[in-house]
Order: sequence, then structure tokens, then C-alpha cells
Amino acid sequence: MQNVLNLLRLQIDNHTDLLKTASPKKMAMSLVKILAVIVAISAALFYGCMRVFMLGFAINAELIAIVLLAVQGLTLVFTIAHVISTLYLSKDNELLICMPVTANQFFISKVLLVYFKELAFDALLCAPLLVCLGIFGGFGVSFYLAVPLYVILLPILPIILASFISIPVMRVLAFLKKHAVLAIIILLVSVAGILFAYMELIASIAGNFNITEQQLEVVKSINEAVRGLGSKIFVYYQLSQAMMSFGKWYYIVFFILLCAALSFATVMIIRPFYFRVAMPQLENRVTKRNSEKGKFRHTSPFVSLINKELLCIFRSPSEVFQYFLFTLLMPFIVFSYDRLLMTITVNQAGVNMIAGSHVMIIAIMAMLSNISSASAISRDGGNFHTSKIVPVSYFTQVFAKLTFNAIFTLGALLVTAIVSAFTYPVWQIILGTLSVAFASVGHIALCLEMDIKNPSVSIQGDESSSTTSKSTPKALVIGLIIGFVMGLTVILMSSIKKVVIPTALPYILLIAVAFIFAIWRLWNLILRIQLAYDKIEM
Amino acid sequence: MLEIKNLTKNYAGSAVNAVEDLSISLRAGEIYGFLGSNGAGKSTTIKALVGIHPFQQGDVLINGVSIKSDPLRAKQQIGYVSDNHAVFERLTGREYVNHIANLYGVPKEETEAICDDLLNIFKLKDAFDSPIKSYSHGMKQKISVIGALVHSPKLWVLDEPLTGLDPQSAYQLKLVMKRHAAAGNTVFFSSHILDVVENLCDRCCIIQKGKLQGVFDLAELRSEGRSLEEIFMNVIGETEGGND
Repeated sequence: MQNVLNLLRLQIDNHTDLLKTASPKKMAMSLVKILAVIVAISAALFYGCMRVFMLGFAINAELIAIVLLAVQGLTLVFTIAHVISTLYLSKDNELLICMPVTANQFFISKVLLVYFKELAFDALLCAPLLVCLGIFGGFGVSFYLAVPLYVILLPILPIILASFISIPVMRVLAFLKKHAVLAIIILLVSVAGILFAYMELIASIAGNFNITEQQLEVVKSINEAVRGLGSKIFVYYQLSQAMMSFGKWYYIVFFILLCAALSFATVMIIRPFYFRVAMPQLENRVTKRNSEKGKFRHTSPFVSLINKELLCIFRSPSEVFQYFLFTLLMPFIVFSYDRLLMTITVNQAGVNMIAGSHVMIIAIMAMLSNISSASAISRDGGNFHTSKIVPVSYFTQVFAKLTFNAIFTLGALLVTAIVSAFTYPVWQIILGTLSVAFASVGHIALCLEMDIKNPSVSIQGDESSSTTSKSTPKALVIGLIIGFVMGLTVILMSSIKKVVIPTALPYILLIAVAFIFAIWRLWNLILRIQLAYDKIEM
Repeated sequence: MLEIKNLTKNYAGSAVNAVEDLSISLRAGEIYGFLGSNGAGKSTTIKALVGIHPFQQGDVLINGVSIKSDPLRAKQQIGYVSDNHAVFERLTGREYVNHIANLYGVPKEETEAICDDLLNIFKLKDAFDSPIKSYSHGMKQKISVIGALVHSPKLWVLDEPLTGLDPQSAYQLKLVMKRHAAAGNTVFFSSHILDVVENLCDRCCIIQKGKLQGVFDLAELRSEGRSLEEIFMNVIGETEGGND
């Protein structure tokens, strides 16, 4: 048992500073921060509950059962991710397995670590949510006493389920790891599928916008549906009933016994599979990509640099998702946003507002897709030394990175412009897209400049050791401000009487300002490349 | 071939110079060892001469070209193998070498010829089209060497090249170093392994606390019956040892 606890402690210390031998003051500060997060989440949930339940929704055992199930569903998603990352893909496996511990101790310490992660999640989300429901439902003491008990018990079932699900998931991941192109296609198809479903949902909401006129009927039917569904959710309905009265706490005892039996069975079944799935992750195997011999391709340094960026990013499905999420989403979100707004009948001020918010949403999406440039240098990690030793000017190297990001952002803007042309006048789309394109180029240059001035290049050597940098949050905030200001400019200028200001003028002004911004930032980047690169030491 | 003139390097915020007034001169066709205990300033010197670290005083001339005033022309003549063997791991060996060759402007035919030769020596042909992330430590080191030699540099600089290599790989690497020097180029490498320096190098120097302690001709030492280890220990003893 002591070995299990030691292993667990090692892993927790590797994840958080909370238990490390820090001063009591530092530990207290960490606890205060956690408490502040719980309070903030509770306040947000309280406000949300207040807004929802003032409409007349009933808070009863059936609703609590549905909430418990929903939280469990959400926990399951995170638990699968945690089981995979902690049990199978954790980099400390190699180190821990070498320690003088048995396979069982190693396995149990890993499962316990997952349990504590889920416990933290439940404490942060489930507990405040249940307390809020308790307050609005006017429940008694048994309800509040059950909450901490449930926080401890509820992670068990998702961990059991996730342990089983993660084995086939690991098999699929191992397959996709060898077929990166297939993985990217599956990822893109999944994103497109989700977006399609999202757009359909938006369209249906837009079609029923007079929901307020039918509020009473809607609330009544929802309450009935909740009552019907909640009473059918076995286990969770019993747990929910136990919360309402001490007389039904025997359901909690049954639940504990069920969890204990299932946990024991799971450990017995999963443990042999665990080592079979986890150990190959530690092996170092040379995998041949192509059966036939490849060829060398001679290109200019600039093209080679862009090609290298492309290969490095597109060989990691997670990085494709991370770097091109907003680029991929832009046309879909703008389309569904336009579709939603166009269903609302508005006056002239509303039309101006819609046009302005259209520019705003495109600009924000474009700026968000640019923020990967704020880690363009940091992403090279230990390989950054190559930038400094090759006989290629820093200017060429930085502009290859700028071009790489700009190709995708401007490409997404073009697709979005084509999609938007079905909703707005073409001249408006062309002018709006041009202004966002100039602002984007300026923003990319600014992001690169920030990263060059303050990079997080790692000496450890692994490429892409850092997918974000110290400049990423700053680049995000600046991008949001740019998007907001652009949208606001169109809204405010379009509101001035048309006799004085022709309709296209706000856009022309926006293009002029965005163009000046782009030139200013590019000029600054050019001026600072040499000095900033010289200063980077590793 | 390589001339380091009064090189002084100071890290921001440090009161002590990492390298102080270092001057050494390397001839074409020689293998030159760079010795010093941990923290003596070897890596700092190497990083300054290949262009990674800026330096406050002095100059580094490669074939008469200053790394300070004409860095691109100077870098064109250097091949560098870092101590952390960092390579773009998502690329295959071929893609990595191809990328480096493109950056140095090496024609395709020349790249093919150099790679064929080195892949044969390093026995890396079968893994050349595999992702580097699947390579072992030694294989990464070898691909890094191929990348450094793909443009046939006049000066080849290696930082602790033999650390972590198995005997066979170490032998292959030493063979390539000898061949490169025999072709009229210069090889400059840092090492902790005195035996290797003693057997492989024509000359070597020892630095301690950023200062040059002496330059030694290995043939002369051998004729005098003195060992490099003895000299190294004397130098380190006189300067109270290095710090990690």
C-alpha cells in the first residue's frame, strides 16, 4: 500500500505543486485560488439557474436524476481522455515501471490518479451545480449531506466505463498514428459533421424564434418530458430520491456496493489488457513510411521552409486541429450566423448592426486563426538552432512562416467571402474581406514579432515542444480587440445619415486603416527581425 | 581555416564572462579537439562561432570571412552538429536532409551522392525514409551528421559528438571525421573523452572558466611521452577545477 501511495504522490507532484514541500503560505494561496474558482463557477451556475428556473421549470427528483446522468456523461468524456493520457500515453510510465514496485501497484496508482482527476472535476462542477439546484428546489438537509458523498462516489462509474472504452480507442489511435492522412480526413469529416448538425440546429431555432409567445406551453411540455425521462433512469433516479429523504439512503449503500463490485471486476479484467496496450507505447520502433525509395527535391530555401512547416504541422492531427480550427470553422460559423440573423426582421439600424457584426465575426475568426503565429518560433523548440546556423537570412525565414499562416487565413477568408456572397451584396463582401485580409496580415506580423522578441525555445530538443508561447494570450487579446473595433467601426459609421456618408465609405475607411496597420506592423517586423533573432540564445 | 580572435562572451545578467579573450587558430585539414570541464565555456564558444550566440568582443573568421560582418557567407562554410541532436522529428530522414540541403543551396545530384555515401557508412539506408521520431538516439545523431555534411562544409563543428553513441556508431563517426579532414577540411569538436581526443586529433586546446589554458600538439605530446590526461588534470588542478 505504501508503494502505491508513493507512486501516486510522485505522479501528483509531477502534475501539480499543491502537495510539494512548499511553504504553508504558498499552499494556502493555492487553496485560495482553487476556492476562488469554485466560488466563480458557483456564482455563474447560480445566475444561470436563476435565469432558467424563473421561466417555470420544475426542480424535482426526476430533474436531479437527469442532471446526475448528464454530469456523468460529461465526466465520461473527460475520463476517457484522462485514462488514455494517464494510463497509456503518460511519459512517466517508462520511469515508474522501472521502480521496485509490482505491476499491480503500478496499475492501481495510475487508476487512483485518474480517480483524483475526476474527483477534482466533480468537486468543481458537480458540487456547485447540485448546491444551486438544492437552493432553487428548496430541498432539505439530506440533499446537502448527500452532495459531498456523491462527489466522492460519482467518478467511479465513468472510470469503470472509460477503462473498457479506452482499450479499443487505443487500438484505433495506434492505427491512426500510422496513417496520419486518414486521421486528418476523419478529423475533418467529424468537424464538418458536427458543424452540419450545428447549422441544422441553428436553422431550426431561427425558424421558431417566437418561442416567447408559447412560453407556458413549452415549459409545461418540457416539465412533463423531464418527469417521464427522469423516472426511467435507473440508478440515478434512485440516487436522486435518496437525496430527497434520509429514508431512502439505502439506495446510496446499494450504489456503493455496486461500485465496489464493478471496480473489483474491472481491475481483474482490465489489468492484463493494460500492460499489453501500454507497453508498446514505450517501445522505439523504426516504422517505414514508404515502401519505395523516396526522392530528393531541390527547391529554394523559402519554398523549403514553407514545405517544412506544412509537413511538421500536417503530420500531427492534434496540431492540425489546434492551428487550423478557426480557419476551418470560419466559413461555417459565418454562414450559420448570417442565416440566423437574416431570419430576424429589423429596421435600418438593425441592418447596419448585422453588417457590422458580420465584419466583426469574420475579423475575430481570422484573428483567432492567426494566433498560431504567436508561437511560430517557439514551436521550433530545440530545432531553433537550425534557424541561426543556416545561410538563409532571418528575413526569409520569418517571411516563410508569415506566408504559411497567411495562406490559410486568407484562403479561409476567400471561402467565407464566397459563402457570404449568397447573403450580402457582393461589393460589401469584397470590401469587408479586403479590410479583414489587410488587418490579418498586420496581426500575423505582430504575432510573429511578439514571439521573436519573447520566444519559449526549449533546449530539450523535441520538436514542437511548445504549441503555445508566452505571447499567445497577448496575441489572442489583441486579435479580439482588432475584430471588435472593425465591427464597431462599420456599425457606427453606417449609422450616420447616408446623405452625408455614402454606404461604401465605412468599408473604404476600414480598408485604408487596415492597410496602414498591415504596412506598419510588417515594417516593424522587418526592422526588428535581425536584432531580435540575434538576442535569442539557447 | 578557423580563427577565433579575442572572443569574449557575456550572458545577460551575469557578472562573469562565459568566454574571455579566447584566441585560437585552426588549420585546414586538421582535427582539433576542444577540452574543458563542465561549464568551462566549450558549448558557449562553439555556439558563438557557428552563429547561435552573439558575442560582445572579438571576431570569428571562417576561411577569412567574419561571422559578425558577413554571417551568411561564413555560415555557408560551416557544418554544425549540436549537443542535443535536435532534428525535426516529424520529417523523415530524407525530408530533413533534403530541407537542410535546400537551405544551403546544394544541387539535387550532389545531395544524392553525399547521402548515398554517408548512409552506407552509417548503415542508415533502411531507415532514411522513416520518420525521425522513430529513430534511436544514435540514429538521430547520425542523421544530424548527414545534415551537417550535406553541403560539404570547409569547417565541421561538433559539440560532444560521441556522447551516448555505441562503439560501432562512435567508430563510424570518427571515420567520417578523419575522412572529412583528409579532404582538406577542418574538424573542430568538443569532448570529455580524453582518449578519443588523444587518438583522433592533430591538436587540441583546453579551456577553463572561459579562458584558454593551452594549445597542445598531440604528436609532440606522444613523442615526449606525455599523456593528455596528465596535462588536463594539471591544468584543471591549477585553476581549482570547473563547476557544473
